[in-house]
Amino acid sequence: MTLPYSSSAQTSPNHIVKVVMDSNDVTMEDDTKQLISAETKVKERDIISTLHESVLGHILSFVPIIDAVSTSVLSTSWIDVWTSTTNLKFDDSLLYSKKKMSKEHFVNSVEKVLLHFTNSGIQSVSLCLSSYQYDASQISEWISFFLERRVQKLHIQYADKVFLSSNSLFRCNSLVELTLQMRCTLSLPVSGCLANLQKLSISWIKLVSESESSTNSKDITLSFPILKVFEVRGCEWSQNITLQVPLLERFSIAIWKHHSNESSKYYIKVNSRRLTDFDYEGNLEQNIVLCDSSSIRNASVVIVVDEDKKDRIEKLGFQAYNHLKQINEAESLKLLFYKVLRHGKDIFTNLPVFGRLTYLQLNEVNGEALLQLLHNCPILNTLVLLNGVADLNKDVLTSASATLPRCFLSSFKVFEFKGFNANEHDLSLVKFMLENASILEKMRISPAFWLRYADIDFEKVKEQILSLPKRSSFCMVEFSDISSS
Amino acid sequence: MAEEKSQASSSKMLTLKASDGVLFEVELNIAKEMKTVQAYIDDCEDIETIPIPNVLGKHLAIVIEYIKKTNEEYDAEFEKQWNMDDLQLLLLAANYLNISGLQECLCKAIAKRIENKSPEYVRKVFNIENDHSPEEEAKLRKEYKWAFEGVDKD
Repeated sequence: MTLPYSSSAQTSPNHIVKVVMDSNDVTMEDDTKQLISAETKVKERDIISTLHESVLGHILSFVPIIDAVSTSVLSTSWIDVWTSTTNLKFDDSLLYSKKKMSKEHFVNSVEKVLLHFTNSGIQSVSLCLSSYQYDASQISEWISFFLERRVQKLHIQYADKVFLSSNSLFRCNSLVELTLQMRCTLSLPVSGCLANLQKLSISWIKLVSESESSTNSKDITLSFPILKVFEVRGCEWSQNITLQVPLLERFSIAIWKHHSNESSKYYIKVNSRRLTDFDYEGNLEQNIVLCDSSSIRNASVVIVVDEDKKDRIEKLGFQAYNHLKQINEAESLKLLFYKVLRHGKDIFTNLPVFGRLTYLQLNEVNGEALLQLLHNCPILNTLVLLNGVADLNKDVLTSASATLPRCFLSSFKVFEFKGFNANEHDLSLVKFMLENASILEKMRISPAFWLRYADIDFEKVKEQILSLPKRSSFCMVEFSDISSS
Repeated sequence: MAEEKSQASSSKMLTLKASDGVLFEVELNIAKEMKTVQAYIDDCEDIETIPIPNVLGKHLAIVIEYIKKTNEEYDAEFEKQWNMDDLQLLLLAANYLNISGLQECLCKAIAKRIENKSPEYVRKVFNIENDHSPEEEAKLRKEYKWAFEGVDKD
C-alpha cells in the first residue's frame, strides 16, 4: 500500500535509527523527540473513510447525536454511519451557531432520532436537559424508550418534574451504570433487583414505597449483586431501606438540610463485606447502618449542623459517636464541620478509638477536641489542619502536656497546618507540637489567605516559630509563601 | 496496566520496523498491547524483527509512548498535542495495531474537533469527496432538516 503522505524527518527512508524504549524510560530520548516533531502532511487523500464503518460510528458516538446526523451528507459512504452509533448524547444547552435550539426544535429532533433507533440496541444514553421545562409525560416516554432498548449506561439530568416508573427501571437488567439527577419521586417495589448494575448514582430523588398503604410503609430491600459504587445526594426516603450489595466498595451519601426530617425516621442499611470507602455528609440525624464496616479504610465525614435547639445539641455527641464508631477501622479520615463550631465541644464527649488511623484531616476544631482526637489515634502519622484551631487555652495545654497522646511518642511524623492564623491559639498549638512530638519529621505551615491583608509581620512570626525548642532533633519546619495561599 | 509494565518478568526485547525503516526496540509486554503484534508473535515464535508496513516511524513512536504512559491525565493532554492529520494517521495506526485504549482516546479527540461543525468543514478537514448527486444531497438535507438548522456556518 503506497502511503499518501510524506515525512520531512531528518532521517531519509533508508537510514535506520534504532530507538531503545524500555519500560523504565520515563523521558523520551532525543532521537524519538526529533522523529515525533517531524511534520506529516496528508496529501489531499481521504484516509478517514478507509476505516471500517464501526470505527467511524465510534467517533460519532462521542458527538451529540443531533450533530452526528448531519454527517450523512458528507459522502455516499457516510450516509448511514451515524445510525451505527450505539451511544446517544442529548443536551439541550448546546449552542448551534451561538444560539440554543428552541424547545420545540429540540423535542422534534429527539423524536426523529429515536425513530431511527426503534429497532436497534442502544448501549449508552446521556440525556441532559437544563434549558427548558418539558412535559413530564414526554420525558417519561423517552426514559421508557431507553430502558426498553436494553441500555447499559444511562445518565439523566433534569431538574423538573418527571415520573419514573420503577417497573420499567427494574425490568431493565442490562443496566451497568445508572446516573439519575432528577427531581422526581421514585416509587420502589418492596424488593427490586438489578443483576448487572455496577455503579449507581442518584441525586434529588424522593424514594417512596410502591405499596399503597399510608399507615404502614413496608421495609424495602434492593438487591444489586455486583454493585461497586453507590452515591446518594440530596435524596429523601420514607421507609426503611436495606441494600443487599455484597460487593459494594464505595458508599457515599449526602443529605441536605430540608430533607432530613422525614428521612431521619428510617434507616438505610448497607449490607456489604467489601466496603472500603465511606463518605457521609449531613447533620448526623440519619441512621446509616453499615452491616460490616471492618474493611473501611478511607472515610470522610462532613457534619453540617446549624440548628441551635438545646435538645438537638445534647443528642449531637451521641449521634456523632454512633457514626464515627462505624468507621473506627479507617486508615484515613477527613472529619469536617460546617456551622457547628459553637457546639464543637459537645461533639466529642465520646469518641471511639481509631486503631488504624494514620491520616487525619480536620477543618475547624477546638483545642480540647483536637487533643481528644489525638489521644484516640494511637498510630497517627499525619495530621492536616485546614483552618487553624479555636480555643486552645492554657488549661487544656497543661493537662495535655501531663499525659501526651501516644502517637506523639511513636508515630506522629507530619503536621500540615493550612490556614494558619498567627494568633495566640495557633501559635500555642505549634509550640505544643514542637515541644512534645518526639519523632516529628516535618511541620509545614501555610498562612491563611487573609494574612496578606493584615498588619502582621509574618517574617517575625516565622522567626519566632523557628526559634522554638524542638523535641525531635530531625524536625524540619517549612513555611508556604504567604502570597500563594 | 501500569503495574504490568513495571513488573515485567520478561525483559525480552522485540524490534518493530516502521514503514520508513525506523527501528524500535521495545519490551515484550509493551508490544503485546498491540494485538496485531501479539498475533504475529503467536504465529511465529522466534521472530525478532516485526515489520509494521502501514505506520510511519513518527507515529509508531507516538503510539509506543502512549502505551508506556497512558493514564487519565496523560490521555487528556495527549489529544491536544496533535493536528488533525496526525490524529487521523494515529487512528489508522491504532486500528491496524489493534490497541483499543488508544483507539478510544483518538476517537474522542477527533469527535471533539468535528463537533458542531458544518458538513462542508468536516469534508475539508477529512478530505472527503462529496459524491452525492445534488438531488441526493437535497433529499438527505430535507429528510434530516431538523439536524441541519443552526449549525455553525464556517
